[in-house]
Amino acid sequence: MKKNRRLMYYIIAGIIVLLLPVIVRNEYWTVVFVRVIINMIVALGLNFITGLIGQMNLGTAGIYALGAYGSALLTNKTGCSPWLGLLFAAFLGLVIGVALGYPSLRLKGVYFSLTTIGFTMIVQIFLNNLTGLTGGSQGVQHIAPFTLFGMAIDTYVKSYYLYLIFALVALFIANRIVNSKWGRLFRSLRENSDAVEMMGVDIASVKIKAFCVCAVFGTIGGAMFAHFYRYISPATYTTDVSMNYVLMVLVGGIGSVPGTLVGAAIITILPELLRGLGEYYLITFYIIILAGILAFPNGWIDAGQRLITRIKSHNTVKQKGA
Amino acid sequence: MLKVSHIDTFYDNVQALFDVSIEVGDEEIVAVIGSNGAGKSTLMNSIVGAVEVRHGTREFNGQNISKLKAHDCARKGIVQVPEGREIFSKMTVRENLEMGSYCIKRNAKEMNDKLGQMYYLFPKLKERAKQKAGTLSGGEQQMVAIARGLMADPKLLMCDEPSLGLAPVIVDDMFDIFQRVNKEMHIPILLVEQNAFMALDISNRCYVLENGHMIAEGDSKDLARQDTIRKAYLGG
Repeated sequence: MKKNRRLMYYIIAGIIVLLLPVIVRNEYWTVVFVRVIINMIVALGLNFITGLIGQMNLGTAGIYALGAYGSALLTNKTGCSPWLGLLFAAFLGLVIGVALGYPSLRLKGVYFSLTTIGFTMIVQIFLNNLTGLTGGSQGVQHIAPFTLFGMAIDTYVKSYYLYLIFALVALFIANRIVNSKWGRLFRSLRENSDAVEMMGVDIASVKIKAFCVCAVFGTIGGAMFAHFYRYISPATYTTDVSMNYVLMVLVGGIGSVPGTLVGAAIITILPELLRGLGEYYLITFYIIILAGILAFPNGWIDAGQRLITRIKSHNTVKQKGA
Repeated sequence: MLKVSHIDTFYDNVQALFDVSIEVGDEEIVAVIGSNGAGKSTLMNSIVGAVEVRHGTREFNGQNISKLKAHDCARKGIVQVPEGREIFSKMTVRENLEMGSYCIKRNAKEMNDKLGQMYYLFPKLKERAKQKAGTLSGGEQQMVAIARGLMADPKLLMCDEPSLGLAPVIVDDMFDIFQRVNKEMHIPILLVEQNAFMALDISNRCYVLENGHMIAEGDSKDLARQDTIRKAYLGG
């Protein structure tokens, strides 16, 4: 009975997600939803490092930028398919994962975060100044869209559906990892890495693997961004962006996959809902997020679940009374 | 089984162990006693290569393990139950135990059998299986740490200060368990303890560390009778 009801909720949620562009029928909001999907994928990756292993990675913007530029430049310069660009971005992710993973073995806490901020800044400086390759601050234009069975994915609605498939694959993989032996290993590293080593686990290789997964999700998200907007510039990839990804991981519920999805949705959609406030929208947004973190330290999902059980128990008490 | 000969251990330029040798035979319980700062934990960490050992050799079952890192030693079967327990306090007791056998491939049935074995040894842990390990009492947490170590199918179990911060009654229980593990599961145990009285009581042989030097070794019963040991470690 309980299982059936749960399945029903999932089906309803699935139908809503599937019909979203049809229900909304508004280009602006469709773009927002595509961004939600891309952010979900990137945040799912970051969840491994920041959510599970517990190291504050503020280099997501750099990872994301390299993915976007890698894929965009490869397709633009060689004229190859964006799918190859996507593969190349994933490969770049592996390289970044190893490169960022090694310092993380020696640096802890705030020092690691500073290193990752530095990484983002270096990436941005390179993108701005390697004008021959990256186009400098002008960015890269006319990036080819994805094609599927000979059909160019060139409208917002088409992109929404293609990216939805990407997101489902990413969700499946992330879920498998988080709920496997690996996920538990990552969590135990956050609690006590010495004890993990005493169990015969090579911590260094585990951490680097986690960084690779994180960076691959990030670069793939970047490539999706590039082929969706079809124009990228270095100004997009600031440390603010990295902060927002950390917020996505924190707000929904640290370490959990549904929490990350909810977090990505909140952090992407909420500012758009607040646009009506004009120049006050960002400050309102951050006040809401801060208040949310203070009020629900275990994340919005946990808060929601508590509310539901409370209403339920309230109802049963009422029934008993009557 | 384990043979450590003439090791010198350093923390940067500070030498912590001087020419220390220690041996553990099959099915033996060996204790290392000494006061605070004598180098007992350093000795444990030196055995598995978790600290810098500059000289001397380490052998395990006839194999040279001098060059191995801590996690490799653990895979070879030298399992350490660290000082201060170091359990995963936000995970459940069962998850803690399952983490213990991370490097051993077990199917669901084998895992359940092994867990059953632990619950048989520590009935309290069965009651607490679904509780977060951090909410347990000190004694129960120590049981989790030992059981987690045993989940890795150790060939040698090393325990660092298992009596630390525990009530005397619980300490008794703890030492009973070591004897059972040793007799019933045939696992040799290397025990590092400040509680010299208990350690001498349950061990076959004992080593005494002082300021990084091994000052005495021998049969535990003989050592317990020696005047110098009685004065220094057993309160006269």
